[in-house]
Amino acid sequence: MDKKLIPRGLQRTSFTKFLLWVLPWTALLAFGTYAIYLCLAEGLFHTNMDNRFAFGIWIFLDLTVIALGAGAFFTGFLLYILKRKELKAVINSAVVIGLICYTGAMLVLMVDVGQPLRALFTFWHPNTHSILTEVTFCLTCYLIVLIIEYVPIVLKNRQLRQIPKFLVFEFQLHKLMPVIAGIGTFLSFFHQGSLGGLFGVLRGRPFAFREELGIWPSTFFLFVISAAAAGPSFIMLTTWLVEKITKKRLVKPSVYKFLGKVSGIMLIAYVLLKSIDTFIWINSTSPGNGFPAFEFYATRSFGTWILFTEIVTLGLLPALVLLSSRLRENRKLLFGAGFMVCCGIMLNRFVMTIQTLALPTLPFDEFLTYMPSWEEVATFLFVIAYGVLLYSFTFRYSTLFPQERELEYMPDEQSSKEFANSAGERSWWQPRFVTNFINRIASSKL
Amino acid sequence: METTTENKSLKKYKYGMVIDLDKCNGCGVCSIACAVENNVPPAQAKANKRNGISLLNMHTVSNNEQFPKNESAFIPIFCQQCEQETPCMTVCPQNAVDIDPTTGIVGQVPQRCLGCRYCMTACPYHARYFNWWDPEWTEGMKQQLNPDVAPRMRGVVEKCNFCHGRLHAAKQKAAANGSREIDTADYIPACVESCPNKAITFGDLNDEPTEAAQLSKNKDTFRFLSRLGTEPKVYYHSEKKWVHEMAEKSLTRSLQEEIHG
Amino acid sequence: MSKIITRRDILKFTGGGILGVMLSPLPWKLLDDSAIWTQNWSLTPQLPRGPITTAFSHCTLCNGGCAIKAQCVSGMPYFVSGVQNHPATHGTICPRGLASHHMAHHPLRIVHPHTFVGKSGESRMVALSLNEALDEIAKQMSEAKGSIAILDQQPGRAISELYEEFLSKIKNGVYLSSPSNENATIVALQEMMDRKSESSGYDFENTKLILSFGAPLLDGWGTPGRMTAIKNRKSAKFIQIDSRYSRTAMQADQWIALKPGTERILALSIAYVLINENLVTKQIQSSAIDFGQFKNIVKNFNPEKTVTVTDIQSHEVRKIAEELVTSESAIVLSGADSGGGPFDTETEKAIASLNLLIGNIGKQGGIVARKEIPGYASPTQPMQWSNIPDHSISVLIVDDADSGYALPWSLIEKKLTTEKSFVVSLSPVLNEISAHSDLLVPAPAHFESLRDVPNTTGSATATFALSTPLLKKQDGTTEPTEMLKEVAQRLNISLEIPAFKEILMQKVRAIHSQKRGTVFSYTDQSSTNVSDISSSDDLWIKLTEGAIWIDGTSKQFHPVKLTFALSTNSIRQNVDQGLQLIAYGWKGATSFAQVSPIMSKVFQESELRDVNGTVTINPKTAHQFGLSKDELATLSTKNGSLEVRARISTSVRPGIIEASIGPLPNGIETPAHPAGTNILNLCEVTGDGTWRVTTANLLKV
Repeated sequence: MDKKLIPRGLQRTSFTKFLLWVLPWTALLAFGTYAIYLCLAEGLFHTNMDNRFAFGIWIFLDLTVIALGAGAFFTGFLLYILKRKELKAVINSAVVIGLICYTGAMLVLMVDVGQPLRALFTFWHPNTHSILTEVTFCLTCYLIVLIIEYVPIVLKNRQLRQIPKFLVFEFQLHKLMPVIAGIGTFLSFFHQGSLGGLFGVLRGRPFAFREELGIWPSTFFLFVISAAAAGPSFIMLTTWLVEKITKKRLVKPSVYKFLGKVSGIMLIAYVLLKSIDTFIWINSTSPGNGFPAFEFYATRSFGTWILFTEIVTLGLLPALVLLSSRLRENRKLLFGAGFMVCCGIMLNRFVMTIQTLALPTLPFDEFLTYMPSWEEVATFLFVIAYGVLLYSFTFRYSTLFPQERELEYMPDEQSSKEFANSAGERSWWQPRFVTNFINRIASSKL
Repeated sequence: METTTENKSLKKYKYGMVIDLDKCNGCGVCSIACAVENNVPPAQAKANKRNGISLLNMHTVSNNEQFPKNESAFIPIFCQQCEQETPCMTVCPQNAVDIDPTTGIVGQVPQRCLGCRYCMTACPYHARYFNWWDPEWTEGMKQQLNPDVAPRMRGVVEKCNFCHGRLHAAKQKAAANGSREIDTADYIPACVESCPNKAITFGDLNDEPTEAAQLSKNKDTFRFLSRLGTEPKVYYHSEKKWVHEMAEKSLTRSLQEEIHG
Repeated sequence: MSKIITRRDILKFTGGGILGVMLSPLPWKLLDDSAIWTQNWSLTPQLPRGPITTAFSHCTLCNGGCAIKAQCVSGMPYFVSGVQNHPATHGTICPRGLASHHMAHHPLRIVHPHTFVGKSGESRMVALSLNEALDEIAKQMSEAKGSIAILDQQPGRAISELYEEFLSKIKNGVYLSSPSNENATIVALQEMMDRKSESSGYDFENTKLILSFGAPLLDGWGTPGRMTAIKNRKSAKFIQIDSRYSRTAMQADQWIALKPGTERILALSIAYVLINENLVTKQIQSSAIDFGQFKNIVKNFNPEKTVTVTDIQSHEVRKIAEELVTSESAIVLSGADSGGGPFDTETEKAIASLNLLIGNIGKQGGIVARKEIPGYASPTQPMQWSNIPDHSISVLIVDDADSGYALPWSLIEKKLTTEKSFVVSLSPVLNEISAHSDLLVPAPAHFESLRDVPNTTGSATATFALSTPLLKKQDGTTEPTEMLKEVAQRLNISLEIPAFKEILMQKVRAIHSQKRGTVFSYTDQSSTNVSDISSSDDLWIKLTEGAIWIDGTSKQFHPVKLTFALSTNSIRQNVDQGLQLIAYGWKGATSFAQVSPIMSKVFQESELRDVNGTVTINPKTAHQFGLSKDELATLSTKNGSLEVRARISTSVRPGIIEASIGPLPNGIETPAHPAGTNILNLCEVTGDGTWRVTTANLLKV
């Protein structure tokens, strides 16, 4: 039925099957729309947030989603600025995922604020001292960048390509890509950081407050690096998921391994810096404000285990796996580690938002708990449904994975062989001794 | 040139409060006076102490001794009017929070507030409230709203502003009399005026002879979370040792209470 | 046509497009409009506009009679506060008074007579005409087999006199008041001294020691401003004997934490010390008819023995007794917690007798007799609830005035005839009583009509003031005098009732003619002798504009003949197995009366005061019953069970459940949904008409 729209040379499932796939997600979308309507039309009392828990699941998931969507800027940076051509295989997918994550987060934010129509006041009466102003400006600009990056993907559609002007437009746009990627990287760097800064600047919340480096709190840099670590892992995972769902091979194994390696390198840097930051916070920042840090972990629900899980279990561990070329060979380990990276970043964003708010500051105040209402959950399900739908349509009617055509005719064994052959690759930025060291650790039987 | 000299001649106030906890018996007059004065709507059916709006909120603390050695005190918490690095003001993305340099009062502009609630997460005193509901009064009660205070709409944050409506009225009165300085007797916040035990002392902390300035320097006067360095202008006074100990504690106790239930 | 699009073109097009749109007024106008819309949306009310004026009146929500200053916009009060330098209130009012101007606009306000159709629990309110309502009352009264009662919770007012007159003219007329009486000690003393028609008060202003048995002196008792002024002046020592850590216990100079229900035993053990150590004046010993018998009863209450019952050490008892005697002046008074129920008569007598023993009657700083208010008949005491036979009242009219104290429906129900009883509520706002009524004939709401404010509770001086209306009377409401007149007419009872304003003017004329006392005007803060006021009309104008008449001269007297008339010498307290439930409330905000919706600030939106359905227990009790903080539990007594929220605090005696009977959580009961969650209904009302201690059980849900 829609054959004419499907890219040449690509196998796509039947239209009926596609409809069946789209249907439940559309239903979810409708359900989410209803929840959003309730919150916008009647008020935010539909949520379970309150005056102490002024931020809830929405802000937590927004931060997570934006960190996961960082793949778009970081892949773009590696591909266009550092010229890592192998990433061409996933850049389109990364851009779509980035677009979904950012638009989704923006949408939820608009539901989250009490007076969304006044959002524009930030541009009219900006408080230049507020880190949220920085976030708003960068997010808005970056969203425009993402849309510009998304346009060529749409224009790749078979029917649209027949219009010569579009073809030329796409070609010209393509030439602009490195500039746009550069701008995107710059903007992303700031807003990912500012999102971290949101909590680091909270002088009144000693659990979140961090020392300043320059004009930003340390969480600024931690958020940038952690997002750069999570982004590639998330692209790796989503691509793998799309392969599983469509039962196709979409990218060459080497791409996965490269993504894993990038993620691992960024993660180990993050774990190192996060550890230093935590050490300084425990020994200087927090006690300096009159709050011995261990007191924050006095409750059962938020004990020190959470700190350990965040840094070691979901930080150091996957970093070591991803850095070892031998362990990367193992698909299960590679994707498992990628999954752990994403979980670790999620946990970090959870700690920064939810745990910060759960902890009291006044000596007579209580530790609070919070459970999101169904409206809050449904609003987020809206974003997921919207993401799946946008991705599905783009995947079906455009070329997201340039290697798909090539891999279509490659036997499975060859693919696995290739997976094995690409082992031991060493990038220019990975010192030999680190690789050797990690490989040795990985090969030794513990 | 002339304007600058005029500005200089304007008196700089530093309004603050000292609350005598030993005098407070938690009758609740201040909370009600505050709500009536500032057109705070009554609670919606589902509102509770976590999402309701009581700009002047009363907390109860105890010395945790066993009956009958137990003792309690009430602690009214409202905006503490932080002077330094005012946490809520610095974070607001659209300048909806400001600090008046001539009075030291931290103000909130509900008409500009986006409702992002970032200021609420920033406030260490949890003294900011969000309008989760549309404000609702009975038809008759709408006719009884204070004409000096604009009611807030749903979706914005509000807090104590030392009864801005009263300051405004006092300024207008002074202007009508051709004076630039207000008569201190004309500007008394509703809670201060109505406290039957005269537990709240309000005044200019810069003005040494005032009772408020004197009391704020008393050895038994303290501020909550002063170690955060935000220089709040609301002081608390108690001669009870356990109250001081409680105030200086950080989280440990409340958390332990949570654990041992 | 075949022009190739270059990068330059794209940039030019995009840039030009953006610039063009930005320069057009369209986006800015749209942004501006949407922002302005959010600032003016219709769900936020428009503020009232008009001239700002000040008016004075008096609050009649309870018998405190506090003077109030109301700031009005276009004549509508918007902020109510106390009157500075007022001789009785000292410029303060209670939270309920602060929001008193809302009462006329309460969401449960009714303005027309209503009756109920359908079965209880699912009944509907149906409006009917005033004539139909009055006919129905007259019919019910003429058909009544049992007695006809009027419940007036603020006795002593002009309307009270009319009620009494009406009741005296029909057979089986019963005049009732609130079971809890702030003047209970005075009533008991007057009984003992046989001076029932006297009007007495507590001279707190001049006393040095106030020994209170549970009276919520610093939490709304009497005229709240008066008590806080005395406390703040530190002229008297407050000793609070209280089974719970009440607000008064918290503020008092000393708190004696006795076991619940043992007040009589402690009072008599104090009497034991007084008698045993020869501290009782000779004069009392000689004037008491039954002093020997009293001594004989008190003999049982050796503090060494009572300690196991009261939990108060003998040396503490001795210390109290000594303080009472050594103090220059002292007052001993009893009082119920606003929700906890009154003491039984034996306890009242035991506590009152301490005043006799220390000889503070008729003395400065003791219990003094005040002058009567000209124009008012000498007060008669309403019938004691314990003296009313069960199931004897056929028709009950409940006046709209409130005492501020709890009144359990179960107590009323106990006195109503089992079949065909008829209850009329005059309350302008639906409340617990209206939920059980057969007919509602709403009176004008608070501040809607002229009322008199005679002597406030416990006042040592005679006072008179007027509550001038601040609000327009709603059409459809019926003045209680009007109702009474019409019903009397229908029953062919000759009862001359002039317009209510005329009645009050008569009182003012009487005050003027006696030329006693002074008038304190609120507008100019001046005092004028009544003798200097030229005409009674001038006095009337002064009073309606905001003033209080005071006659501070008290009458000196000595008790000549007195009987203690104690009857029981038991020192055992009836203790059942299980936990003991004691109810507590806050004056004016128990489940009986309604409060302004704005009171949610202290009940619902903070935990300053507790809503109905909250119980507090000691951590030990909690541990024993496996309960943790804020957990739901089932509270059960003989009368039934309820789901409650358990709070844990070391301020509660182990084994005791303190239960709040404040307003019902998250809403108010309506006639369609009569009280089901009210803890007051779980309390066991005894034959004495009280409910101080109830055996209860608490189970984790």
